[in-house]
Amino acid sequence: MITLGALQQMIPVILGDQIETKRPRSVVYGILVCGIVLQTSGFYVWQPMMIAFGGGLNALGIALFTLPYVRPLLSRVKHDMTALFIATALFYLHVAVWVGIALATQLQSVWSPALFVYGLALHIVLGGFGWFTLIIVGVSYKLLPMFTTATAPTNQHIWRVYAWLHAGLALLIIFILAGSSFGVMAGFIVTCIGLCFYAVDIKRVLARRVRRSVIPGMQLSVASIFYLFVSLILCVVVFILSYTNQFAFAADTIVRLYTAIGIVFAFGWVGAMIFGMLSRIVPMLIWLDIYADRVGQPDVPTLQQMIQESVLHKGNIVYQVGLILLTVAVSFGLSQTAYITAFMLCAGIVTIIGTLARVWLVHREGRQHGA
Amino acid sequence: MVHNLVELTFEALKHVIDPELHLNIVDLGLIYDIEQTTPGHLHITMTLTTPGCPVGSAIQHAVKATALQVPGVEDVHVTLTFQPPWTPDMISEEGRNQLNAF
Repeated sequence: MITLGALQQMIPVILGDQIETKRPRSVVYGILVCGIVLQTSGFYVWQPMMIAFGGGLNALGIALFTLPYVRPLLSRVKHDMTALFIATALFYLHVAVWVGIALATQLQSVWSPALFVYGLALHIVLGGFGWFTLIIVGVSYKLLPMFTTATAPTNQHIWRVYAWLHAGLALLIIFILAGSSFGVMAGFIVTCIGLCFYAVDIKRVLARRVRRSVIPGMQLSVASIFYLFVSLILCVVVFILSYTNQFAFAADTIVRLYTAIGIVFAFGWVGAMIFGMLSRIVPMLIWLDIYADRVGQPDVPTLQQMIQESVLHKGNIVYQVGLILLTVAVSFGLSQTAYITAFMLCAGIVTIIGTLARVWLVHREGRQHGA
Repeated sequence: MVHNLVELTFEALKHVIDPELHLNIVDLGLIYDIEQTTPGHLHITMTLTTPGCPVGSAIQHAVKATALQVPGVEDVHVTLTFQPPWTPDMISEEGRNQLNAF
């Protein structure tokens, strides 16, 4: 929801065109909310058809969201790499959702247990890599230079990353369906190579920025790239160690380690990237709502003045420390420590969200920015 | 007189601050040209950091409103262009110093 909401704001910025749509976006929002609530309830009471129906609503909402952007995106894919990334990621999102719906129907009447396992892996890869990673990588090529006042990488550099990520994704999809663990690991390694090229591009952007300070939100977003690498590399390492039986891992140890890797991916890559971007987007939306018609007047605050960056910075640190400690605790099966560190992670999230909420609470009546 | 009005307008537009970068739009390099077409009538050519800039229309209105407050200015016409497209190289030396200070 956050990613789609941010895309709705960012696609016109990225494409340089206002996208006209006759359908109120609130309709899409309502359908998605209903779909998510239905799915979540379906999982809670374990009613597969509820899950499938909720997924169907999500598929409808996502399709309605995507429709106004199809033509503008397709008209730009040949010369705008970000448009190509967005178009591809939205395609993977649709496929991921439909694979999920197929899986949910399998829960009701299992017609192929093996297919269910591979299908679940495919659903996760399509959603986590095909949709989320591609959309973040593609959009960051436009947003990061914008937020740091730097020159963007060339299309040639971006194309290189696009090609490697898709090669990795193709290997993952093929070998998941073929049931080959080695092939899947090869896919992870190729994806890692693509992300290495991406990291080099981001490093170059940051090195060439005019604005020297990196705001807390951007710091968290940049840190998320590190966590993505960590999760992928750990995945490969754990696979190799468990396959070669170097440490005689018990089955539950393997589960714990992969769970820990999942935590790093979910909260380190996905969560940190989203919170980092929100730290910039939310104040911008509030500023546009309240101050857009008062630009040039002396009492209009800047975005930096609207947000308590020191508190946000502390929230980012608590979030990341909690994440790292939780990952270690889960890896070693330290349940008490896991609870405490999970609380720390939550405290970081609450701090970050609270800081953003405060922007709205303070400025909603158009009051002047405080200290 | 012409020279002064254009200069005064450039100075006045330094009060229009980009909310994202906390830098005025003149030092940011967004004002490409200010021309006095007839006495009291200005034509301002400007750009934005990106074509889809969400604060673009707000900044455009602010440019017109601010320029109209300059003594001697009776009418202002603002043209938005992306040729050439804005790049960070267009930031003035003063602007770079301010950005480095943050």
